[in-house]
Amino acid sequence: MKFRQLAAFGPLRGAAWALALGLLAGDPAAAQNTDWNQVAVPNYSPASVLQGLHQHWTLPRADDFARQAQGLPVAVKALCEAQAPAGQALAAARGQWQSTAHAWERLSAVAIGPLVARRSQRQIDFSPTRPGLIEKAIESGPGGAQAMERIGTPAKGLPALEWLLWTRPAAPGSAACRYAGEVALDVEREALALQREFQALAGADWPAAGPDKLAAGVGELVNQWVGGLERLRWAQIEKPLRAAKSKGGAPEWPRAASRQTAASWAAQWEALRSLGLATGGAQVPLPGQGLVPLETYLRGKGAPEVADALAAAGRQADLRLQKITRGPAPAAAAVLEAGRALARLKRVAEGEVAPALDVGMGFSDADGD
Amino acid sequence: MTSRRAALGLLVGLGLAPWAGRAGARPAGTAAPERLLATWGGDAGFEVGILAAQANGALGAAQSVAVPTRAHGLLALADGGALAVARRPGDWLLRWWPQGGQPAQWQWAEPGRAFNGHALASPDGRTLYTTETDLDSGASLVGVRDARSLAKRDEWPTFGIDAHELLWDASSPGGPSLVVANGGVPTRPETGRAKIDLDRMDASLVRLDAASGALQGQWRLADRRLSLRHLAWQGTPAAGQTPLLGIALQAEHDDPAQKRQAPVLALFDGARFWPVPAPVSLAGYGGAICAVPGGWAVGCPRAGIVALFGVDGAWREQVALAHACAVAALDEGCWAGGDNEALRLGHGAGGAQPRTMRPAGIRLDNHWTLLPGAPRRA
Repeated sequence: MKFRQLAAFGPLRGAAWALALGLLAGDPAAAQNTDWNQVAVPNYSPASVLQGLHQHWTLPRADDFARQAQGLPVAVKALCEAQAPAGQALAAARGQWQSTAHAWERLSAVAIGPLVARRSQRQIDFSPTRPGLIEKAIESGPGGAQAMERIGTPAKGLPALEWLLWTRPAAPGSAACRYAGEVALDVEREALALQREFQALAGADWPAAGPDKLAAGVGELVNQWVGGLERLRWAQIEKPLRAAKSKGGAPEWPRAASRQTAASWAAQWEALRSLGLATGGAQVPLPGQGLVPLETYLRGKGAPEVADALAAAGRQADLRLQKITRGPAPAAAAVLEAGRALARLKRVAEGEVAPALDVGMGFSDADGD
Repeated sequence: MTSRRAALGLLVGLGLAPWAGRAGARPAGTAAPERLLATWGGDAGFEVGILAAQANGALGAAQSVAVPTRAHGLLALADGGALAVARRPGDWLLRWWPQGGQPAQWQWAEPGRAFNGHALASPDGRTLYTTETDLDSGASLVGVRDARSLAKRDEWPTFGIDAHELLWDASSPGGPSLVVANGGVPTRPETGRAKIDLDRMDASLVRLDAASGALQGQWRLADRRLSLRHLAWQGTPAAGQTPLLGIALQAEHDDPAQKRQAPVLALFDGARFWPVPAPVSLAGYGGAICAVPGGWAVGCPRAGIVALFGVDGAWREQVALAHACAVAALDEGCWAGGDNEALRLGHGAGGAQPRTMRPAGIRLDNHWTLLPGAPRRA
């Protein structure tokens, strides 16, 4: 099966190109060629790992998401106030949606801290969206935060806005456009709330944190990293293909209406890769001075074999993901191969990385069911 | 902890001796090798399949089918088929015919729904009941499905969250009912299974009318941090005769010491519902339960123990088995499965060697069940 004919794999433009190129920004080959025996890797404490995570990864991404999300209501308002034909305003709103969605995916691919506590994914990225509920919501004409709280999550968030901008584009001056504006404001509110909470985490005195809090933080990082791998592998990549095979019809890819499927996968993989793999070659951060990927953390803890296994599985996943997120629409076999590579990476993470970091896997048998 | 060999003598006295000799040394008159419907993970990913006793004494994978994510609950269907449910929050059901002849049948969770890991077939074979979660509200549901097509006919609330296993109860005076374990643990299905707000835990056992889904009763344990997960009848429920229900528990206490000592078994007699203490630490987690003659077997993977209780919950014995979890009822005992080895606990003498599983490296998941063709309990 080829996806060439499917709208989901549209050409990458603008921010999407930047994201795709971002896959190459950290060069796995450079890391592969690094002689780690010649590199002094600090023995990072859990506090420095979490400090690096929140100061150099979650907060910058939360800032970017907030910045993009703040542009969303502005762009939708411009669309609603535009004179017909509103092609330019619609294109601008769509572009802002894409930038916001990509910033969101780069933050949320690993659901840490407030993303879990606030149920942000459910709040603003519930999938699949429900057109029938969107139409009911348009009829009810909600205005303001309190009114939007009464709208069910399947009718709001980024997927609903995608529907209102691509599937059934809201016309200027229409009730649908006013509702799109409320949905955009709702996304903005969530983005700002996340930014505040990640600011608090970045500003926390991690070295003074107790051992339980530190263990919980590292445990959450490893568990949610694995959870993010599985979500990308199964929910985002493999399941649509397998479900289409057994049910018939075309795969229901995420972000299909906006033709951002490949860009969405690329954004999520970029997030996962940057947290897991050392892509900066011999450049390793000083404790508390930068993000410590899991691979680097393992090397610092004296577990080079596990770090090597993680890096090798990560490189394979990187190659497979690049095949399906760059260039022409991929073949089904390439998509499934990418899924298998992610599954292998997950097995290394669960079976080798977590034990080496003394982390219990919440997704394992031992967690119960 | 009692070793397997030392436990043998104790279990003989209970009528529950481990019987795990080589297939070639099986007592005369024993029928064809027992076959277990199981699910496991390995280098090839996750599989559902049949494990059968081999001549070398191992349990080997006789047939298997790959599944995309971890499977959990398993049903041996009356038509010879097998049904597997994705682990929660799951999105697939698989009906598979181990003997071949028909292609595997997949059913995907409806938009906004997730499977919670278990299913139940009605005795007439026409209806399939699945525990599910409404991903928007978090509420638990029973999905009522056509057993042939697996398509959903109806949804009933379970009056709780985190519903897990469910059983058929023919003993209700007003007609058949479903007994459902609401696990009560708030989770974040959209982020895997992150547990949150455990102070809001609300586990309960509910009885629903099997025809309408109407609530007929709801029961809770006093300790709100005990999640109700897996169920087994002590005998077959029949009209006017309510047997005891055994419920395997999962403790969610914040205090590790409290969690370690928490009970793993509760009993329900139709009116009273009580937890059963054990004199040893079972690490607060009973992963699976089945009835055995004169009692209950509970697989406790965190403790590496198969815990044996009397019918009334009186402590009997523990048998060591690394990562013990899956238990499958036999007429004379049960099969207990660990990560990569198993024990057959039953009548008679014999060695107490564990059965290894083949291929090596497979990790048995939480549940397995004996396939028809071998003696078994309900």
